[in-house]
Amino acid sequence: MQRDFMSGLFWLFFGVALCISSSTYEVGTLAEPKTGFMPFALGALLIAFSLLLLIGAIRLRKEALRKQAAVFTGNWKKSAWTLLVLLVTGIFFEELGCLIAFFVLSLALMFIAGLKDWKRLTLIALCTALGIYVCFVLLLKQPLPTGLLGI
Amino acid sequence: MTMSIFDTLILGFSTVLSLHNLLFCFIGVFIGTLIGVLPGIGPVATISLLLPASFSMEPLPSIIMLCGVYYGAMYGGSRTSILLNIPGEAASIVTCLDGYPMARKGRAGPALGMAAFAGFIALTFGIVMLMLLAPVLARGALKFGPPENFALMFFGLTMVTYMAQGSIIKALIMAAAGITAASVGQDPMSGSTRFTMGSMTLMDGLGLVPAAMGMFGIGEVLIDLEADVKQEKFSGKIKGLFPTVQDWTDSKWAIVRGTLIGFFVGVLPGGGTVVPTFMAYATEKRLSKHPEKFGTGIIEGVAAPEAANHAATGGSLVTLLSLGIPANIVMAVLLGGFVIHGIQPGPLLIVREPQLFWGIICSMYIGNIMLVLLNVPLVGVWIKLLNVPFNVLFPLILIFCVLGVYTINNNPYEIVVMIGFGVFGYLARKFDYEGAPFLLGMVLGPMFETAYRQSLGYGGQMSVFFRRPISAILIGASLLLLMTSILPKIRHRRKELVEKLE
Repeated sequence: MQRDFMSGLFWLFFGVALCISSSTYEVGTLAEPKTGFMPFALGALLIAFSLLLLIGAIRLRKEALRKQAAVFTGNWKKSAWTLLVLLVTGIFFEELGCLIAFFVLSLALMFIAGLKDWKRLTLIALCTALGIYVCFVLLLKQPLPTGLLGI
Repeated sequence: MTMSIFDTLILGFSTVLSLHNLLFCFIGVFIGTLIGVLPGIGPVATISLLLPASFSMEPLPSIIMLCGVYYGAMYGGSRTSILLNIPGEAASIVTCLDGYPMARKGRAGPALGMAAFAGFIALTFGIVMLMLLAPVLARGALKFGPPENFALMFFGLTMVTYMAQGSIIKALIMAAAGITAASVGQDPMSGSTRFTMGSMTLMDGLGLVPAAMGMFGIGEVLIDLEADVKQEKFSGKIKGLFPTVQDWTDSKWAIVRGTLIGFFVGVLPGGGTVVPTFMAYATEKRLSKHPEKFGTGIIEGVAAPEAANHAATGGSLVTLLSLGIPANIVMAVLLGGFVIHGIQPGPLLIVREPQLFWGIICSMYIGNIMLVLLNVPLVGVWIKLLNVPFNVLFPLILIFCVLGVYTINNNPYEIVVMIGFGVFGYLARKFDYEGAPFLLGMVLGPMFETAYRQSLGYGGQMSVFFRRPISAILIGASLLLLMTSILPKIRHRRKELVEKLE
């Protein structure tokens, strides 16, 4: 199957990489395992399982390919944008400060999710950011980053 | 000195019946019902989200609250299954099959009422059994050494992969990947670091909370966002929440069987709350005099799965509290809740922390009553929550994930780690891999490795696992399960069952 073949290849490479990188630590033996033993053994298991998956995928490939839907059906761009926004906000979370970060995050995520009414969008984003600030910073005294606004 | 059941109940209730503990019990079951009703967020992500907040709390109210979220979610999940054909919780998928047709026939009230009452009866049974069984198991487990602990965890991981709804090979890959993820950070035996790439954040290892929130919070929301889930609204009126005498007559055995199946499957590592609902429904259909009516809106089709998922919550706590082994991913996250307070669930919990142990159990009796009061008369209020547009709800869940994960250590890199797990969880779903074996592998990984290496310290040979009867039985059973799952006949039958369920 297409998705089993692709994921099988991924796990095969991952297993090989794990075995190589864990062998840089002291591996030991089955009866006397050291730091690198468990990751090495898991790498070997991953190689074995991924080979089983690959063999199954190759055997069923032609027949199953006809039946199977593509992996990325639906609106995958929404997911990609969401992840990008989360990542950027996560990286600059302390620099932006919690108020600005949560305002921007709410605004962007709700827009991506399909809310296009800008007035409503801004109002909800503002309420979300302020609500989190009041609950977590003022009431629960959580040390959230102050960032650009300094509050 | 051993305590009688009566003494333990007095101890438990005297501990839990303080305003403070009752308040947190209520908060837990309230949040549980809320997230059960709302799609896109389940108990795993919610408990993970609440873990940082519970740092500053005392252990007992914090654990009472987290447990309340778990069993409360089962009550909430059935509301949307019955009224909108949308399971709020994975454990309520089967309830849709007859619950929604009942609502369409104008019998939403009895279906909701039966779901709540069957759940109440089953959870009560689950708690009683937890109370009776956990101390016995814990006493037995006191004799366990590292080889038995290793064998038990091996059995747990095998069961999780065996019970996986998709491919066993994929489940095994996920379990192995989970243990691998747990090996990042310090070696539990020697203290030297592994795979940290010089990062201070990774020195402590990959956190369970970012992993759980990433895979079950972000990953789920991304899938829902992509699917453009259509928001349905329930416009009818809910009348007659109390089932009729005929409804009770039709459902009584379904409740009994669903409860027993739910509890005993819930006890098994990997059993969870989803598998027993399918088993209970299939059992009722097989034993019924009119199997053709299943799926058309009959009350047994609601009572059996609802009894099963509620009883399973009690069952899964048995394994955690008495053996210290999480039976499913919610229990794995709950284990994190114990650990942050310096409490190790397991055979010694009942001896060292009797107030906590019996307090948790007694809080479940109270929480169960609170849930019936919250869910039966206030059903209309919960349904109104579904009017929150999904394009507001889903972003809010993501924002709370960011907030929750940051507050653990006030470290923005934890957010990046969570997003990494979110991408992994999303891709795993896309490629038909289940997240549960991964997360359980991640939780059990360090204990698994430590038990393995300590066991070899006993004799220095692999035969140590087969010389001791309990470990030999558990490892033998695990190997048997793994071998039978690869047999072509069993694989074929399993594939057929999975296709039927889908």
